[in-house]
Amino acid sequence: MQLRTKIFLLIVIVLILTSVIISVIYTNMSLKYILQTEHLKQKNVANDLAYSIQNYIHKLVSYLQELDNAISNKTSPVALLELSKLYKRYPEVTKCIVFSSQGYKIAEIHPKNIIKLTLTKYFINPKLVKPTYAISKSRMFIITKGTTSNNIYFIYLTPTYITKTIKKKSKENEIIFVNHRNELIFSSMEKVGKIDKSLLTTNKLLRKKLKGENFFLTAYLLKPINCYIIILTQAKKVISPIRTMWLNIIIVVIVFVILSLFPISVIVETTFLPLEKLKFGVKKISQGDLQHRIDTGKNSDDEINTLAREFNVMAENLHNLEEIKKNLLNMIIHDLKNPLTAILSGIEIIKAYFTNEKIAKKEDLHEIFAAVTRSANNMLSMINDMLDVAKMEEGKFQLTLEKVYLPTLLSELIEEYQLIAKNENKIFNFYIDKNLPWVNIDKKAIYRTISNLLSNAFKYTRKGEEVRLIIENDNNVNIKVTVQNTGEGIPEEWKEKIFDKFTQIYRKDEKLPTGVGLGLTFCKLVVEAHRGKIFVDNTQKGWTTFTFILPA
Amino acid sequence: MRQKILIIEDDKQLCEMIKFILTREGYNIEVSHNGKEAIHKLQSFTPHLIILDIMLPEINGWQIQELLRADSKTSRIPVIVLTSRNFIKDIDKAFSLGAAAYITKPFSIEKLVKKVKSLLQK
Repeated sequence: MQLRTKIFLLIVIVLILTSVIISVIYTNMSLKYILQTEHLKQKNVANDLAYSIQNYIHKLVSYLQELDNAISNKTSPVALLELSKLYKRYPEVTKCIVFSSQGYKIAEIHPKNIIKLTLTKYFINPKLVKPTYAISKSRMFIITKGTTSNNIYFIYLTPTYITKTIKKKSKENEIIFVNHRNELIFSSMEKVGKIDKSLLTTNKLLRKKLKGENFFLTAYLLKPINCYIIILTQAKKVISPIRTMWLNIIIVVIVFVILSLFPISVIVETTFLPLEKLKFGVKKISQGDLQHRIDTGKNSDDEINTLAREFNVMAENLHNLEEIKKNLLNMIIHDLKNPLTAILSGIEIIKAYFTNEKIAKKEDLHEIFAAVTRSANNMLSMINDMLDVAKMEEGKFQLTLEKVYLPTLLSELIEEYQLIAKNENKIFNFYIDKNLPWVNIDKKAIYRTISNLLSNAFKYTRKGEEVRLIIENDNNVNIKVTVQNTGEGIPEEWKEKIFDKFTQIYRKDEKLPTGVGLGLTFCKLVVEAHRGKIFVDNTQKGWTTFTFILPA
Repeated sequence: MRQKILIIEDDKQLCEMIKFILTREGYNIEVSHNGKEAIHKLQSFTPHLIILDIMLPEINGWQIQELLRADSKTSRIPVIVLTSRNFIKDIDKAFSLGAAAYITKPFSIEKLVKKVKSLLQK
């Protein structure tokens, strides 16, 4: 997979993950809030129910007290009739039993005014009597003491009021009503069976499974009658807003990711464009196009551009090396082939002399032999230049220093060039200071340095023009050697490069004067090994001048 | 009258050899070791044939060929290009600039003489 695809995918994944994490946190908070709200709602329903049930019982009891007050001074039958009014107001009352303040059963009153007066068949301990309520699936009873008559009333009734009230309330929620013995009194759900005790943890929102369905529920203890109201809400109903929220979030995330694909791809592309260029450039360079340069764009300093620049430097270096290699090859082709050709031609002529004397006379052979020898020597000195430059560059060239008086060393060389000048119709002048110090030098190396400079000068001098060798005492400290020939001087931009290896080929093509490919490089290395310096001196117009200074 | 040949070649010994053998063959030889000097010489001297090296100091062989072609006085002089460069593109270039022959170094002097003779008999 391409790096850019990986990064692109990474960004998309991070984006999706971030959205999902934020959504999860947000929905969790929302869920908490929704559950809290649900709990409060259920509590409200339970409170409402508790209130109306309590209210109902209180009213019933206080009405009984009213009746008790009304019957206290009346004879028993009248009083009992008065008491039967209870059925009119509370039709759900099925039976009312009256005990005397001493605890003996006095009467039993039924609806439709059936009154049974009985004697002490039943007895109730009056000391233990305090308002008591109990409820079961089919009936409910209330025991209370009349405050005026001190009679004890035992009232039976059906729990229809309670079930009706609960039914009314159970439109939004399911409601289960359980008594203190854990008997089911009412349930808005069918067939719930026995209610597990764990459901009766009060004042806490629980999540339970009932009849295969999840519910959130709150239980509430109705203290006076010791019953539990359980308010249940279907979990899916509670969670449905969260479901919708999730769905929305997923849609939003998908839309967001799709919409951001384009900007992300643009960002990735712009990031990878320079990398692409780099890749392309490096590929080209690696395929051998060493002149190719990677476009590093504006002066941006990012890592890719820095890398690209380094690659360009590398390509440049490789290109230079390649050029040097090419030039070396060209130099060998050109500079060594020329004398070789001369030698071969000479041999051919000599051979011809032995087969056909017409072609050459005996006396001519001297000239031919001399020319062949010169060519061979030229070749040798070129090869020596090459070897010595290589040695010096590797640091293997050892100078053999001797105290030398330069004019003595050079006398033979000067004679040689005087002869060449005469043969080639050129003027050769030399000026040597009378007062020269002895110098500590490598004789052979300095001899060849001056010879190289003179040979170059002669090569670029036309017939009738002049070559000069000047040796001066420079403040008794240095010796200054100057070789010059009439000419246009060396262009400023070539003053340094001319001493570089193998620059000859360029120079020939660009009409620049020079000598053998390595001749000047050899001179420079020798002079520098003597802690001297060599340079092109363009101060004298009309002359091409090379000068080197040797410390005495 | 002896036919005149100009040799433009920077290797002096090689020039000497060619000059020696062609003189023996009965030609009048002029030598120039330097491109600029050769151009100067051609202003006063019109040879029947030119033997030309390519890599020369100051003015190279290509430039000399161009200059020869541009001048009506010299444009008909046959040119033998004599060089150590043996790349196809160099050979093509020499012929496109009007060379009559292309000889790469090292060469047989006998072949050069034959070439010179055949070009000058026409």
